Amino acid sequence: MSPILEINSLQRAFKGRQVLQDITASAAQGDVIALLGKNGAGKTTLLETILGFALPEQGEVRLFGTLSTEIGANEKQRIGFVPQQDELLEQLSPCEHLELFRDFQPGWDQSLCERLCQSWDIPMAKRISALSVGQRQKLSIILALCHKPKLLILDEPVASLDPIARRQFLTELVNITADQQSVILFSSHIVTDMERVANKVWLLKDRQLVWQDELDTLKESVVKLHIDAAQPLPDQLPLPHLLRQQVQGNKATVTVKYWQSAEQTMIEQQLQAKIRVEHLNLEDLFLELHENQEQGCDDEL
Amino acid sequence: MTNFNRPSVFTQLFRLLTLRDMSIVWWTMIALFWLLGFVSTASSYAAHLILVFYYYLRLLPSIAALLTGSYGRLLFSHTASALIPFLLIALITLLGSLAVVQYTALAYSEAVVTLFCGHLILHAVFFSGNSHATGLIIFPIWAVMIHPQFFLQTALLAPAAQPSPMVIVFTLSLAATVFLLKSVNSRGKTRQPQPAATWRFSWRAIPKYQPSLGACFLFQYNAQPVIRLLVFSIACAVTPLLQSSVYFWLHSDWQWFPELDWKFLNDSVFIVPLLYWLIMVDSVIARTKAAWLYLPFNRQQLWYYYERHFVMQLLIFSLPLLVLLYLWQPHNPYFPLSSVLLLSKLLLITYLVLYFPRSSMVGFAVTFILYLSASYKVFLTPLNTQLYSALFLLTAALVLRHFALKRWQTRNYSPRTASQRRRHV
Repeated sequence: MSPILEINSLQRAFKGRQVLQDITASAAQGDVIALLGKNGAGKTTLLETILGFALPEQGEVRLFGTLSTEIGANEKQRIGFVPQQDELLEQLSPCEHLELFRDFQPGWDQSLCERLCQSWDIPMAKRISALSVGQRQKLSIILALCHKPKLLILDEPVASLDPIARRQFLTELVNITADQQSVILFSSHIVTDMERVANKVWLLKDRQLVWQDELDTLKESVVKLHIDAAQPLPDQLPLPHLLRQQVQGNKATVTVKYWQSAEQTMIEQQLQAKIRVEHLNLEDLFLELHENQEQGCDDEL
Repeated sequence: MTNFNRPSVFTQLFRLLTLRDMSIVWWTMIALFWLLGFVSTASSYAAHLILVFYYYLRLLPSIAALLTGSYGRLLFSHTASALIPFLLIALITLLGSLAVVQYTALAYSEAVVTLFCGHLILHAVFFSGNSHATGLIIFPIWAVMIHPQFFLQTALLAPAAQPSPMVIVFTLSLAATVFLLKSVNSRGKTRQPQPAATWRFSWRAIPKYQPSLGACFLFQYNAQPVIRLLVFSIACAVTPLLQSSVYFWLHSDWQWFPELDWKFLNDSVFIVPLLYWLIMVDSVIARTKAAWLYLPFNRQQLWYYYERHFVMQLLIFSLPLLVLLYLWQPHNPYFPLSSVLLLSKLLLITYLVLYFPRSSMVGFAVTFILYLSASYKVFLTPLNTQLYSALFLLTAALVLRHFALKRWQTRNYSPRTASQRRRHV
């Protein structure tokens, strides 16, 4: 199966400052990718470069096999995009805006549109300029979803949504992935939401994509070890792939990556300690993967 | 309900009259013209015009929203709420009566009664909270009041003072009075419908009749050539109308392209259309990011798409612009050359903005150059000067086009320049 999205050695810089460096990744049908990264990590830049808003300094991005800077009508009508700040036509009402899209988008799903408008309580007659940020965001999402895109890119789509709307939105994402076999790439800081729907994780750190794999693989790979030894532990534990460590006497809490359960017995013997393995959720993983940088621990991810 | 001593009705009336941010400025301006009205009758007319525009378009919607809303219930007693609309009507009737008496053949008492009844009916509509009805009323106000000879045509108000029409006016006023009292009294008992607070008189450009979704996002106006011609014609007619209005104000005589000593207005004859064009091109370019994913083109084709569009718009624009040039100076011996010069300026502005998209410094520079080069005196210069100017502008436009084309191949559409409206969730 050919990938819908391919990124090869992508580099972006702003006024001489490197923002993205050597990004290589791909996404195929059915992938729901959570793009994680701290504020200013370059998530929006990456998403906008993918969509062809700007040219990369080096490398290339291909959408449906076409260079992102060359995409035309054929590719664009298969893309749905929800920007961080909506780009709606403020002088129209939601009803008029949706009609406009329905008239121009060949694959428009009117029943989905009506269902979402009803369940999200979109005030159809009010002018868009008078809507709240949350209502505008909901409308942006409806506009991006209802033409059944094959590639859906969402930049902080749930930041302004209430918990009910967020849950409904996530359900819709799952349905779309199941029905249409699309690629969904979305960034958000509400990591618990991402964990519910994503099957892959892209982690941006230090201008690079330091993790791009299945979410389950990440969860199995990065674990927290609670070590309880019979005698005081050394300040620096001799463990491979150490991300973070906290040693207090004969107790220690360490985070390691590339964890394999077979290693547990060996380490227990080596340290003469009992080890309890804690599997982390995505939010904790995100924190652990970033905190290690501040503590200057271990190698690059 | 919280009980507290409410201020007197007159204090509250003053607060309502100064409800909006710029109210004091507007009232000072109205007062100034009104006082000048004792010296010059044209000033009375100006005072009344500003009063009607400001009061009905800005102040009254806010007052109606406050009085009929939940804050109104808390801040105003029933008596004050019932009294205030009538005090407001009395005030603007008294302020406007001077102009009406000066410009019409009506007696003072007739003028006051006619104005009072008219304002009473208008207030009833505003307080009804029906934004559509309010909107419908605003248009006749604009249409009638903007007519410079409104007050000179005494026949317009005189029939209203005749017995038969006055019976209708009095009946309507009586109904309006009953409605106003009823709506104010019932405000605490039942929930009022949403007042016309959200209604604003504004030009609502609807991006209809565009060939693609991307074009709707990009241009955001009605694409019909007739509508575009109308909008361009308005841009061209602004300054001449202003000149005529000023002349009328000073000399009580209506003239087309009058001889005025106001340099600023004389210079603005061609600057206003050119500035309108500059703003139009600039705002279209600023929307590239929003439109990019809906435009059926790739990067290479986008430039030519813009160029085609602006050339088409320029063709439409040139019609009222050249008419303006001709009407401004019908006996210009070099009219074809002046036309070329004027259109060259538009071309240069277009390519300048395309080469330096969304740059405030360049925008300032362009505006300055525009002011200097678009001065009407250029079109009065000898043949050679106009010819060389046109050639220079065309060459500069061509050079800029070459570089702008290259720049657009690699342009980043991402940076946001327009401030995004953010509201509370």
